[in-house]
Amino acid sequence: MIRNKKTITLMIVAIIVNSCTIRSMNDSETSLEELKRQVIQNKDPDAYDELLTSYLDYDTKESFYYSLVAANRDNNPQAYYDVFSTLESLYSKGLADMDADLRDIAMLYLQKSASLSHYQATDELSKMYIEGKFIAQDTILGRKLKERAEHIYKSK
Amino acid sequence: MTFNMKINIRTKLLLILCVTIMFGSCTKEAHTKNNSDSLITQDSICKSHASMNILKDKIISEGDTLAYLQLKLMRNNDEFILYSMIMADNYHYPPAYYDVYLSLIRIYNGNFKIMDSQTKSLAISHLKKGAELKQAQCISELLKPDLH
Repeated sequence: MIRNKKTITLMIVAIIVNSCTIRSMNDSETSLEELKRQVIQNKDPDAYDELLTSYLDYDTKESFYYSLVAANRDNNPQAYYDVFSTLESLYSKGLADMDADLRDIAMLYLQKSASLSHYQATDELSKMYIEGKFIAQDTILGRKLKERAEHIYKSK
Repeated sequence: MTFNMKINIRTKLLLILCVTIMFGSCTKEAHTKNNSDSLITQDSICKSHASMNILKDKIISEGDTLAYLQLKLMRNNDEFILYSMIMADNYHYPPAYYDVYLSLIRIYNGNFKIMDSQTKSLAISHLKKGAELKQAQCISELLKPDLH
């Protein structure tokens, strides 16, 4: 009799686990689609950040389109940086492996992100100016950007 | 209750348990089928993802035009824009310039009046580069009066 009760309990647990898994699959897919829709329709300014969090387990290439939209349309500094970093991550040697046209697009988005006081963008751009990598060398500007990046970091 | 009867009841209950678990897995599978709007199984979805990843890698590393066209057939939505940009701006494949343009203007349903300046500039620069490479669709699009 006790064994029968155990088996019945086990059955109920199995049913609950199954239904919970199905519901969580539904919920996560719906929320991702909803966030994508919100980014495109520009309904919620925080939707892009939430979408990025949802995409953490995915490849950043998947969220590129939404980064491009949030950067161009909303002037979102993080989105500008995400466009740059996705392009940079395409090739093992980063920007060095790219054709000049694609590299120019990547650099444009890095510069825009830095101009909007994005810490990582400002820091990376400062290194590029100091080393003269992918951009005409300008150590004075590079150092200024480095100081600015430190200031952005401290004021966070 | 005899020993045999007890075993029978236990066997029946175990059978019910197995059926419940199997029912659960079938429901999950059916859920996946509904979402992909087709009758493909989870296995074939995995295979399709794997083959898409192979195509994406070929586009990124070699600028493979056949892989690009195949991926376009499999996944011609706006998220495809990254691969169009790679084919256009890294490998200078003329049709990809038009694909970048199309993906960009779709954000605003093709309405240039409400389009932000950066999207517009990126879209038009791709049309112009495509036209320089004698891409017919880019040339004809550039001739439209509402573009200017």
